[in-house]
Amino acid sequence: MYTILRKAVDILASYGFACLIFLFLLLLTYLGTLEQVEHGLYETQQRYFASLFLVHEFFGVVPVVLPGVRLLLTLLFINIVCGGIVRMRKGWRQLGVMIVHVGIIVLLVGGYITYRFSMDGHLTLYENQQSSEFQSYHTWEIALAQPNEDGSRSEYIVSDTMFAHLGPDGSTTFQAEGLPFEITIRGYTENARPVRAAGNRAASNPVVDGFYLEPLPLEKENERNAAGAYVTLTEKNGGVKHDGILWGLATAPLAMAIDGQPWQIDLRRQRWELPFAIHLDRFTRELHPRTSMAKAFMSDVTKIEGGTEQKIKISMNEPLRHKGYTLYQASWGPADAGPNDRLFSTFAVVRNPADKFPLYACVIITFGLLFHFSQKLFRFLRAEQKKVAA
Amino acid sequence: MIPRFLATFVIGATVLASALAEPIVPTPTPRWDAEALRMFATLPVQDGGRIKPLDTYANFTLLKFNGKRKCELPDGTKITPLEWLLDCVFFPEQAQEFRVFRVDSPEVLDALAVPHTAKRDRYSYRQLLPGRGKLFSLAGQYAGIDPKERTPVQTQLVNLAQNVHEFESLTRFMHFAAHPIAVGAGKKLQEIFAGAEEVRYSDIIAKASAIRDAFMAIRGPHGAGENSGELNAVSQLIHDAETAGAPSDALALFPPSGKTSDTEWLTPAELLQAAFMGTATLSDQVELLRRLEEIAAHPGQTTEVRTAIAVFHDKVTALATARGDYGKIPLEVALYNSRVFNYSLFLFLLSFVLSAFLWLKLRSRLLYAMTSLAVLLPTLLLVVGITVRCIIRSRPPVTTLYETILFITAVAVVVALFIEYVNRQRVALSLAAILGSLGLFLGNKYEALEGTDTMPSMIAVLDTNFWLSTHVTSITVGYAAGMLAGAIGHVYILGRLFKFRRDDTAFYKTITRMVYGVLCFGLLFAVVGTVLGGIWANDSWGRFWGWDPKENGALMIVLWGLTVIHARLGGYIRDFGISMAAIVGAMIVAFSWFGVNLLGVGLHSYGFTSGIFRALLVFYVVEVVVLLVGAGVWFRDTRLQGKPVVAPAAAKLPSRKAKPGWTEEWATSKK
Repeated sequence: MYTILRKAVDILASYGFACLIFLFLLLLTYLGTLEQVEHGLYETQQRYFASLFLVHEFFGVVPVVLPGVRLLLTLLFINIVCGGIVRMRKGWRQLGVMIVHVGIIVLLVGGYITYRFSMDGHLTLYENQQSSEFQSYHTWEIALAQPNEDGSRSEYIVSDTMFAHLGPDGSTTFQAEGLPFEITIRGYTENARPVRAAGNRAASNPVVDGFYLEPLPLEKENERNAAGAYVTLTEKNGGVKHDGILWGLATAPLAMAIDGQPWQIDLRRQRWELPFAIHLDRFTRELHPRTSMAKAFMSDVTKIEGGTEQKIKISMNEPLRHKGYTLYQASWGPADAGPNDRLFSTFAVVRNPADKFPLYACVIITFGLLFHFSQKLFRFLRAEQKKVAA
Repeated sequence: MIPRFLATFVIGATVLASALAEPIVPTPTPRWDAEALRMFATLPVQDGGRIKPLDTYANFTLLKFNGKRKCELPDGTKITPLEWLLDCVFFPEQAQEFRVFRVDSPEVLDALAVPHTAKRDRYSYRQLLPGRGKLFSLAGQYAGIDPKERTPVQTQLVNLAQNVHEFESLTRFMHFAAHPIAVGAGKKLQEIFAGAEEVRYSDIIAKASAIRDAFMAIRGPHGAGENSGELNAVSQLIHDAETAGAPSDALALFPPSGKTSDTEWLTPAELLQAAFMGTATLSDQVELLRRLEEIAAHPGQTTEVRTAIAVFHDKVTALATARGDYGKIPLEVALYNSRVFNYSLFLFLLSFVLSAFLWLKLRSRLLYAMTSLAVLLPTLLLVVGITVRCIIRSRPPVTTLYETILFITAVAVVVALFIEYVNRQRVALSLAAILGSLGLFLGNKYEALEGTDTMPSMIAVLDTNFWLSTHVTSITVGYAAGMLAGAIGHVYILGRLFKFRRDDTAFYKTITRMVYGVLCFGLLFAVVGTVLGGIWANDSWGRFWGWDPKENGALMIVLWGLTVIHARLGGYIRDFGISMAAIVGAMIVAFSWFGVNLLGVGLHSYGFTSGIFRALLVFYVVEVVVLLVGAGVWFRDTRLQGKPVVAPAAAKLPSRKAKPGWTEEWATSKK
């Protein structure tokens, strides 16, 4: 048993294993790059880079099972710890390389933390608008809300990890304490649009209130996909059923009266609360003179937190960092705005505990590489000089 | 969006109708004297978001039309881009006869029903004129197609239409000065212009506020009533002035006065607009317009014209200097006039020839010294050229794809020279000559292919000198090393193929060391550059890695470098393998450098040109052939003869003490 284990560690720590991982990573990076042209970034990323395994069709016909980048990076971590740290020869000459390996480990750990614990989304504000919520670019949620007397809303949230995997054919039912109904979600489609069932057009899905959900092919840019789903609300008292269609781009939530109480059901991009609010005072864009090329864009904002206000400028390459959240100037609009139109500014909002890991890794790696290669270069030069002298 | 060139189609058509009707008078164009040319060359103009010399503008405009920086006149004489531009502006009739529009496919002309001469040729505006209507209508149609989806002929038609439009814009520039504007009847107008029957464009701008006041007074609060005739005369005058003004996208030659926050320079048409809006005091600009009108009245080498040119030049220069816009203009003119990169290319080619002789007479010290000098000189020129470009734009050396070519060439050559300095094997020296020639040749071709200013303004996210100088520079050094390593790899493979110094193990050992050393050098920069790029992205967009094609390209270089290093340590590859791997590495560098731009996706897909695709394809075919040859040679030398060529087993290597340096790696690998 011990020898088998030892053998396994030998393999995991070997140069050959490292080379194999590098070559697979290289292949997947290449394939994933080409795949983006056809399928867009988000889908490619999910399929090639965030996966454990995948099937790639070479030349569009020959299916081959390949390890995903997530699996490969895990193996690389094991390989580098076993081979590049634990079992590596320890000495003056190996010091530089050892430092580089530590840097790579920092990078890999940072990548894992980012993958597991970071969240990102955006916050879009028109001038003079304020918000403390940001929303996801990719994930959805269903909000069940009841308006309160003071105008606020109490919400129950069903996150898409609970229903997105169902696909168009699955169905699932949720209930919660205090909720006067059960909600059944079915026919979830990643990209769809509601269509009026009229004339001789055959509805491809069940018709509710004269509409049905028409599935659409996935957009290359995932942000453009608008999910849709059918919901049935079953009253806990009496079992009366209410059917409805939810759509990601609907302008207003689906309104229903349950037990005589008004409820609003909304399929929307997942939202998160910021520990502070942002008020957009002014958005400025500068163009290079006599061109339509952006020279700079920036937002003057006020950060409001517990009664204190602070004026801040967010611009390209100059984000706002506060309480673990970072707000970046991402885009603006409307694209066809005239000189006096009200503009909006979009901030990318990221919360990433490993935000600074790449920087630490970079410093460590650079130092290690410089140390190692300088050592080599000097030895090399010395050897050459000796040769010339001889 | 309808392209701008189509919007002015209607206006242009009217002017053209008259141009067509007029008989062609082959009057010889008077040439400008050297002093006039010097002043025009250093005239600042705002274009592409920056202030540049008129000479630079002329250079790139002609390059875009013509594919080269010379214009051949019907009588066979050749003129410079600046002379051509001045002819377009001051002698539009003649300029229409110059064959400056390069057309690469006869299908383009077939589509316009214009007879073509050769498969690829240059045509004059007048030759294209019969097909102009068709050209603009087709271009309008194709402009709606995604550039990636267009066929080559469609792309060429769209480009040709843009060029023709720009040409028309240039040839109409002095239209405002060519024809005096009639002052109609009416008391107020007579008062304003002191009874003159005709006035110049500049007069109208000078009196714009008076004309506007007159217009308001005549119209009164309740309409013109019985004065409608006079009101019409004023309207007609304004209308005539507007027609005389050039299209708004013509040369922005007029700087605003003083150091205002207004960053936009103006064209004659915009001056007219500003004058009537009353937004700026325009006395300086009126003065400038008058000088232009004087030059246009009698262009050529008269004393009055010389004075007018001098006054115009000095005044614009003074205004630009006051705004802080003029500073680097003379330096830029000097850079382009020096043709530093052309001379550098010439000298590299010369050094290449010398190095060929050197290989015939390897022991000749004189030849070695001459070749070294012949490589050093163009290297120096190249470095100076790049440095001057940095000074002109106050930027680090690499901001555009064109600059990557210059910089990568320079780095590869400098590193090769360093290797030569260390080992004196003549290999790196010869490679420096070859790479220098190839790089600058490629640079020239690329510049002509793009035909746009190679020192453009930067878009917002790239506008940061810190990241451009760290991330971009280190990545490009990585590219350069990858290419150089690949080049040395060729020497190894070809040397083996032709059994050059067949039994000289030390020679091949040295080459392997060179390849491996350069690979490691490249890996250092590629790793650091790639991680820095991630940090920049994290600072700008909040993500370290986004799987953008250009990022992936850099990652692929890093991964390949790591594979080679670890494969060597593991004993999987040796001399032959390392050289072969270096060639594969160069192919990956080419993919990352140019290939990903062809994909047309992602944040970095700048500077895409279809001509690159062909060059890249040729490169890949050649490299694949070299790799196949390499595999064949390896098979011949090892399998057929049953013995390894160079690297014997690690144990047989000289001891560490006897031969320090890289060799101990072999021992490590066999631990």
